[in-house]
Amino acid sequence: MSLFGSFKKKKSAQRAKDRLNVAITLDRDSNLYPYLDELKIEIMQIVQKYSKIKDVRINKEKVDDQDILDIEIVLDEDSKT
Amino acid sequence: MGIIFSIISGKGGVGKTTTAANLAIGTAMQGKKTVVVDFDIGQRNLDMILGLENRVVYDITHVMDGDVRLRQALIPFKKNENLYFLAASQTKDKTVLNKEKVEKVLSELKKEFEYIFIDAPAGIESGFEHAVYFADAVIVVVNPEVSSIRDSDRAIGIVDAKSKKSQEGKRVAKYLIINRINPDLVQKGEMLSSEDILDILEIDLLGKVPEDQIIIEASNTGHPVILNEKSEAGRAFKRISRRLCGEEVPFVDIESVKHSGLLKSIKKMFQ
Repeated sequence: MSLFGSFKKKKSAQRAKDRLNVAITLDRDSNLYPYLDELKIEIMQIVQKYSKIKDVRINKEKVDDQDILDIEIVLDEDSKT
Repeated sequence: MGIIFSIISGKGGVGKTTTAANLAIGTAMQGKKTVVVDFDIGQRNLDMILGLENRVVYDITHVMDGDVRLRQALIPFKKNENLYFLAASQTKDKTVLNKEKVEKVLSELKKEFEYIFIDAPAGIESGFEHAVYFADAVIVVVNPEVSSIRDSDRAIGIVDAKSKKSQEGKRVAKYLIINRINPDLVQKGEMLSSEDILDILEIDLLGKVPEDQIIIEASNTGHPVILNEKSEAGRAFKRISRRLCGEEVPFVDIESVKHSGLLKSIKKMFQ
């Protein structure tokens, strides 16, 4: 390799590090709430005692350092009447 | 009361069993009463690495099922009187483990031994949880390679979620061993350095082990490298064992290439 060649492209170890940092951050995020599916089912069961529902949506958010679970319960329109 | 170290990894084939064998011999050489337990039920391997494959009569499932007493299943390691070995079953599968039985065997071992090493099955296979549930400390083995590092992060996550200590709100100590480091490649920037790996995984370093051809010879003959003074990996395992015994052993820079003759150092300037 020439003197100049080494400056041209990033060494593979650096690329490995960059890629791992991204992949692991995503992995950790998606493993943060392993109970989400069960939670969704249980919420549906409880709310259904009182009202018909279409769906329960749970969104993961991060505001600054605060982890937020945003739970949205979509009611079935027919149940109002 | 002994301390339980579980040796884990994300993926298989990173040198977990070799590490378990060598560290167990290492602490035994330091005068500690040690036992090493193969928890990889159905894929018994530690017996070969230790050179004890012909001595296995009873294994851990016999003890757990109450067929034999622990004492009958423990196999003495001839090359060091402080070390005993408990084999995994080769015929049964991992579902034979259950928490109560595992706890009973481990608490018996804790009374008899100062150091208990558990060679865990790889990654998140069934059986892994049993191997880490009662651990006082976890030793994570990685290779400087992307899939090993990524998978080990997931395994660490499971330890944090599932071990008894974590569930009781206590901290499980976690340590990293980086195995199969190739100094030449690290120098060329073509292999992740130990510093990079520690940055990514954010756990404490226990030791660095260089790639060493003598390891193959060691597993061929059943004579672990720590018993071989000429082996660099063997010396690295010895340093780690001394650390486990509470000694402060400085980290050796195994990543710099040592054999830098004049020609090589000139060449290096132009690389």
